[in-house]
Amino acid sequence: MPTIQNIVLVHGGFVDGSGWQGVHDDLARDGFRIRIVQNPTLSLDGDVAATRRVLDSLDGPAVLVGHSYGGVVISEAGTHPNVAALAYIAAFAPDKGESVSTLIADPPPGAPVPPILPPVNGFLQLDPDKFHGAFAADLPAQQAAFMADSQVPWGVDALGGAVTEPAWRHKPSWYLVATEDRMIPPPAQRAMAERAGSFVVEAIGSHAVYVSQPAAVADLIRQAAA
Amino acid sequence: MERGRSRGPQHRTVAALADALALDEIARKQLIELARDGRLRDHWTRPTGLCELPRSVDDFTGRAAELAWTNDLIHADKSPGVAGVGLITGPAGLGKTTFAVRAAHTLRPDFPDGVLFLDLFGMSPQPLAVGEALALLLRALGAADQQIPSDTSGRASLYRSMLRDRRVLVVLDNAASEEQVRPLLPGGGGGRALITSRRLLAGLEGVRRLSLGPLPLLEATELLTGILGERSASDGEPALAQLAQLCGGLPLALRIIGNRLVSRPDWNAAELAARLSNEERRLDQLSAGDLKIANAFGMSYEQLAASARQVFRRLALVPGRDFDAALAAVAGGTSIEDAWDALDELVDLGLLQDSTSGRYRFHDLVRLFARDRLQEEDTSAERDALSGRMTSWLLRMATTAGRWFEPAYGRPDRSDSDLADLSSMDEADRWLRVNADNWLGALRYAASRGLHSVVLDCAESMHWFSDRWMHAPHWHEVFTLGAEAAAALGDLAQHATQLNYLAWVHTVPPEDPETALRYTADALDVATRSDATAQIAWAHLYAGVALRLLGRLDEAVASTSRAAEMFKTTGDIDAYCQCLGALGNCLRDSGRYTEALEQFHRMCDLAGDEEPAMTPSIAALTRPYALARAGECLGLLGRRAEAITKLTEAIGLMEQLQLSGLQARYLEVLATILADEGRTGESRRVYARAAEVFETVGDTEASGRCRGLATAAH
Repeated sequence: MPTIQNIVLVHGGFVDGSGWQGVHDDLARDGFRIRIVQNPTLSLDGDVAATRRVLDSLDGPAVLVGHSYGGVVISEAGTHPNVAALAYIAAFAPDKGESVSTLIADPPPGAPVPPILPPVNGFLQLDPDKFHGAFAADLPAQQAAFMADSQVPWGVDALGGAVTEPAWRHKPSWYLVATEDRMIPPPAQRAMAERAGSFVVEAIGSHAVYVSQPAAVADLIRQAAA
Repeated sequence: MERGRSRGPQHRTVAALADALALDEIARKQLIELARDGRLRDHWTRPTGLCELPRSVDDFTGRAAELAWTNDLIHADKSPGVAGVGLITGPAGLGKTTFAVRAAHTLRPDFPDGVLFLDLFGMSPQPLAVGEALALLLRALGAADQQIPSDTSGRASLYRSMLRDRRVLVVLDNAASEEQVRPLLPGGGGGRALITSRRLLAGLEGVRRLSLGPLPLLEATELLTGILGERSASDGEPALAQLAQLCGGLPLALRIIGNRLVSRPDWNAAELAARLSNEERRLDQLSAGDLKIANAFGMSYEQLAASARQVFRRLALVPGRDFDAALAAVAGGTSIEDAWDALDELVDLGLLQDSTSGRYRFHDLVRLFARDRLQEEDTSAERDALSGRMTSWLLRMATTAGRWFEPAYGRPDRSDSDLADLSSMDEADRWLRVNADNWLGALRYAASRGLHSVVLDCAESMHWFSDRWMHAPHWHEVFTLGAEAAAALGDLAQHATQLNYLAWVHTVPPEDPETALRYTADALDVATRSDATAQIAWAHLYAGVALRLLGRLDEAVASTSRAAEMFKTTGDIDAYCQCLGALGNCLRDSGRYTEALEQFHRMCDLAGDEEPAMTPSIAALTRPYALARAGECLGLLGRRAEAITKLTEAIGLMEQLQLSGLQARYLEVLATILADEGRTGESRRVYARAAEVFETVGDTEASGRCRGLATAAH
């Protein structure tokens, strides 16, 4: 058995933790104890606090996993003593002082622009008509439609939350690059992974790679726990 | 895996033809044998392209983004530290190998110096050893056997130097570990590599990793439609899409299900889909991927005849990586004809793969499934009986084959009627080589069950054959098991014999003379306790050989002389002759050419035509060797005219016996002596001949050297 038995999964913006089910089931078969943080995505502080509460409750070391904006959360919360390793799944891995807002401020020319609608009362949503293509092109249309309709509004404060002390500077990290991602450009993912010194695996998948390819995600996490 | 289809005429086709022609029993048997030989001959005589890239499947579907990924990887700028190595990873059944083969075919134009493919057997209990893998790759790159260093690090450095100036793509399929793969990667230079592995091989640096996913539904349906061909229209798109979904986008499951439909037209896709989804509900505790695959296998397994089912699940106990029909018949407890039928059917359904060598193997997952069925359907007593039967058969085959090379046995008289026919030394040789992991597995099993006599018989039977295949990696284990069995039986003489074989193992490349000496000391001890004079003498001889390798020449001379005296006393002239050769080598190394020459002359006399004491077949092989060594010594003593006579005679005999490696070597010696004698024209002709013979044995370096000397001005 690997030394690390706990896995903590942190979802990103526009979604909730239920998308982790495939990864959860895959890892559960190997006897891992898995906790899924239901972070409200209203502010970075709130999400970090929610994550730390889960980490506090653990009896041993954990791999802390973040998807998308969840990467910001784990970079900040990952300094917690129970975190032994970090795993980024098509995620932001900000450096000190960076936030989602700063990281997406200057998209490279030609990069696809995520179809984010203008904020309403401080909340963001993805254009439901473009959700399938932009977020989850490798999922069946029906499933993508459900995800579009059940979107969790994403607080603009969460996007603005800057990391104070990135955990990847202190702990080993792993990164799954989704090569067909139209939310976070794959070259940006590779660059962040390289900066963090992560062990990198790539998968042919959309931004929703954690839903469409749970086996690849679980493999990476198992490796991080080994 | 390819859509299953037997590569030769199917047994049942031939049997039907025999029926139609109303042949009598003898004519029928001949026809069937002919057909069987025909398809085997086709495989055996085909030039076995070393590390040749397998053909890509005709109906390869999808994976466009993945192919673009490998294309990028291969064409990425080669900045320092980027090794141009890609790892394709993911669980079994996703088509990693099929994909890597397709990608390699696509990339072939970029690699003018070739594409190499090597199966590393990462998931088998005995993955390919690094040294063995390097030897295969080196041969594929054009290295001759004698150029290949005996140790792994030597092979690795030759491999790197051969790759340095070549643009070669190396596909390393089914890798087990970082340690296995690392020495096989091209270093700098223009070489690239694609690895497939179920593991991420996190310890490998400078590698880009792609986690292969299941086929998306659309592509999965497309693949299924392609496999079904014309009948797909009648099944209808919705049923096929549902089937594709139930197969989880796993190409292996899709192929098995597709083959199932094609080979049994009375079932339609909708019915099969309904049955599959029932199964899935019933077995939902299994992991998603494994479940889909097991269900797909189950659909095919269930509709086999009971006898074919039995053959299939019992083949899971075959110890090696692959097997032939004879072993399948033993495993299944059927006649060879029924085994052919079952194998044809299993290949058709995609449950087995038949290779170009007429042998069959499982996909790893199918083997697991078969083992599962065996566990479920056969009692433990039945399984034990099966293991016992298969072990007994394999060991009797191996022992019979091994004894072909023993002068005391030779051609076996086929006392066991259930054994496969080995009608020539070449067939025995081939059987032992291709079945090495099978009979070795049986040997281990028998040893673990305390079947000491059969273990000892088998180990003993390998004595002569081991010399013929001295580079095989497993002789240490074989003779260790033999020694342990002899010890357990309290047979001191045989125990000493096996210890002496172990000493021999360590005097051939890769040599380890210190270890050899430890074994000769043990052998001497055991042999002395039992008064086994012959084994005492052999221990002295092997000790002499080891001491010579260590440069302890005086001790080596003493030890070999003692062995020679003992064999002379017991009248074992064959062994005595070997001692003279060994002694001559020691004396020659010590610069005592006259005394060395004396030994070789005595050897020549004993191996001469009129000498009846020596076994004729051994004498025939000894004579050219003794003459050549004598000639070499004469040359060293400056007696060049005599040297030339001896060497010429030796080379003639070597040519007759087709000992080409030796012949080339002594042609070069002869040419040197002719040149020293001032017979320049003759010398050049002999150098030219040496170059030719070196060429035929594949030693291009020596060939080039001799060609240069043949044309050089003197």
